[in-house]
Parts: sequence; structure tokens; C-alpha cells
Amino acid sequence: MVQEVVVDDDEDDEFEPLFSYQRVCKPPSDDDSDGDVTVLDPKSMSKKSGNKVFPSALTPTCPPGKRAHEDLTKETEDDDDWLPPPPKSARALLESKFNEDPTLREIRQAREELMRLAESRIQEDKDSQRSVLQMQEFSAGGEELAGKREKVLVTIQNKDGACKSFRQLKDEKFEKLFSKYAESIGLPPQQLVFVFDGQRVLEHSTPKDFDMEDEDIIEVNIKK
Amino acid sequence: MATGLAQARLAEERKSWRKSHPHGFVAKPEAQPDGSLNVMLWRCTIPGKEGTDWEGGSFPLSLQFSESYPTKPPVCAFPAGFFHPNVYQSGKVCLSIINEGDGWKPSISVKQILMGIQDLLDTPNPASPARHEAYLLFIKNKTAYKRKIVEQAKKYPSLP
Repeated sequence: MVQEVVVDDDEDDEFEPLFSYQRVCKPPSDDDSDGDVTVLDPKSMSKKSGNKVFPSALTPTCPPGKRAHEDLTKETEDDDDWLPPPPKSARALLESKFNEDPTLREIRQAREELMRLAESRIQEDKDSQRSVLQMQEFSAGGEELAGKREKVLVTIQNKDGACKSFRQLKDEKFEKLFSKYAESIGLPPQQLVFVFDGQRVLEHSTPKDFDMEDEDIIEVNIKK
Repeated sequence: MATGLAQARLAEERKSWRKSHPHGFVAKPEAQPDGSLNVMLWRCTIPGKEGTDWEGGSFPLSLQFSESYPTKPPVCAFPAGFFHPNVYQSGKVCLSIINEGDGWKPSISVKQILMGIQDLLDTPNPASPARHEAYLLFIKNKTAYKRKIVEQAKKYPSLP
């Protein structure tokens, strides 16, 4: 059993550094107890890892990871030593830039804010001018409407459901409309009875009397 | 909220009714003494169909809506004592389409209710009688029943 495992490991060498599935999800086999497996695997790995290129990745416990980190920092320090130190003047320049940056930014921000303010003011001015114009137009329209008086579209429906629509002033008597309708169907107006919402509509009443709205229906019956 | 729903639906029903409704029918929220409208109580009129014993009559019907409308149907009632096999002594109409848990669906419009009741006038349903005397007369003595109906139509004359 043990030998087989080792052979497998050899075959999988290329993938092993990333993650060892053996350690995690190897099912407990009939011969080996769990303890055996855990003891066995790190051994075999450490044996191998000693020869391999990635020592830290293969070691299962945490400390080696730390060690790797230390190694890295060491390396960078080494790099610093190896590289010539940056020229002091450039460093000073950089520092001064960093020092200037906040104030510059502040100034820039302040300027932008001012610009924005100015723009918004201009926009507001334009808007207010427009709204004033609109108000003037609106009030003019309102005056016109008031002068013109409101109209309403009423529909006259007969017993068969046939409809005829008429537009007339809300405060105008129905007289004209009724005679027009009577004429259109070829019957004398006296023979027609107009009803709105169950109430009789007489010639001298107006749409306003019934609070009529556009498209309201007036029913017409023919006296027998 | 359920409160707004009933009112909103009724406002919609009234709006569409004003624009289009069958001839001779009336359906409007009750005007209260102070001039405002009670949108939960509608005063309606159903005309008797032409060519039937109900012709010439315009029968007053009230629709009492609840806050649960349109989940629940309105209570539809003629005046108390209205003579019809499917109308209770109280005036309440017994009809499947306005019966919760029977034929009522929230999508049924006021127009459909009123036209359904108009149909019921001349075609009573003897399978579910609500008023015994009217039912008996309808089953046993058609001429006496007819006389009663014509009399009732005269009691509620149409406008012209």
C-alpha cells in the first residue's frame, strides 16, 4: 500500500506543490488507520520536498509560511543593498511634491467648486427667466380660457346603443343641441326625452347643472 | 392598503360607467345630504327587458360595497318585499355571480352585475329559491305569477 502511494506521488509530482489532496480527502482505507496516514504523508512529502524546488509550499504547517515571508523581506533588503541608493535630490523633490500636493489639490478643488457655483447660478438665472416667461404665458392662457368659457363633449345614446357626440359650452342650454340631434334623426324634439344618470334633462338646463364631464352619456328615449 | 383599493376600484368603475353603459341603466354613488358622495353605496336602476313581463319598469337596486371589495362582492338589494323567486324578503338578490365563494370574481364589473341581475328578472332560477311564495307561484300558477310581475313593473315605471 505504502509503496503504491509513493509511486502515485511521483507521477503527480508536477501538481503536488499546489495542493496535496492526499492529506485532505483520502478515504480511510481498510488496512491503514487514520493515524497511520497522517503520520505517513508528511514524512514522505518532507522527504521529497527536501529535494524539490518549492520547499515552503510543500510543508504542511504554518511556521514555514512565516519563514517564507521572512525570506522575501530578506530578499528585498538584499535588493536595496544591491541597488545604488536613490539620489537625494530626487527624493527631496518627491517629498516636496508630496508636500505641495494637498495644497494644490485644495486650490484646485476650491476653483472647481467656484466654477460649479458660477455655472449653477447661471443655470438658475436661466431657469428663473424661463419660468417667469412660462408663468406669463400660462396666465395669459388662463385669461384666454376664462374669457372663452369651458366646453364639454357629451354623447347622446339611443335605445339601440348608437351614439352621437356633440361639443358645447358647459353653461349653454341644451336647447340647440337637442334640436340639432332631433333634426339628425328626423324626429320632432318634443318627442324625445333625454336622461342623464337617471334624471330627466330639460332643454333649458346646462351641462353644468349636471356636473357633466367629457364623454358623459345622455340617453335619449322616444315617446310613444 | 385594502381601504384605498375598494375606493380606487369604485372610482374606476364609475369613470368607465360614465363613458359607456347599457341604455336605461343607472349606476351612481349615493349623494349624501351635504352634497358629498358615498362611494360605498351605489343607487342603481335596472330596466325591465323589452318583450318581457318586466318591460316598462325601472327597478331600483342598491349596491352596498365593503372595504373588502373587489375581493368580496357587493350586497345587491331591491327594495324590501320585491317580488321575485330569487330575491329574499329583505330585497337581497340571490345570484351566483354576486355570491362569494360561488361565481364571484374580482374582475366582474358593476356593469356585468347589473346586466346579470337584469337577466335574472325574467329567467328566475327555480333551483335556488330565496322567496317561497314567489317560487311557489312561479312553479304552480304561471298566470298569477305573470300578473304579479306586470303589476310590479307598473309600480316602478320607467322615466318617459
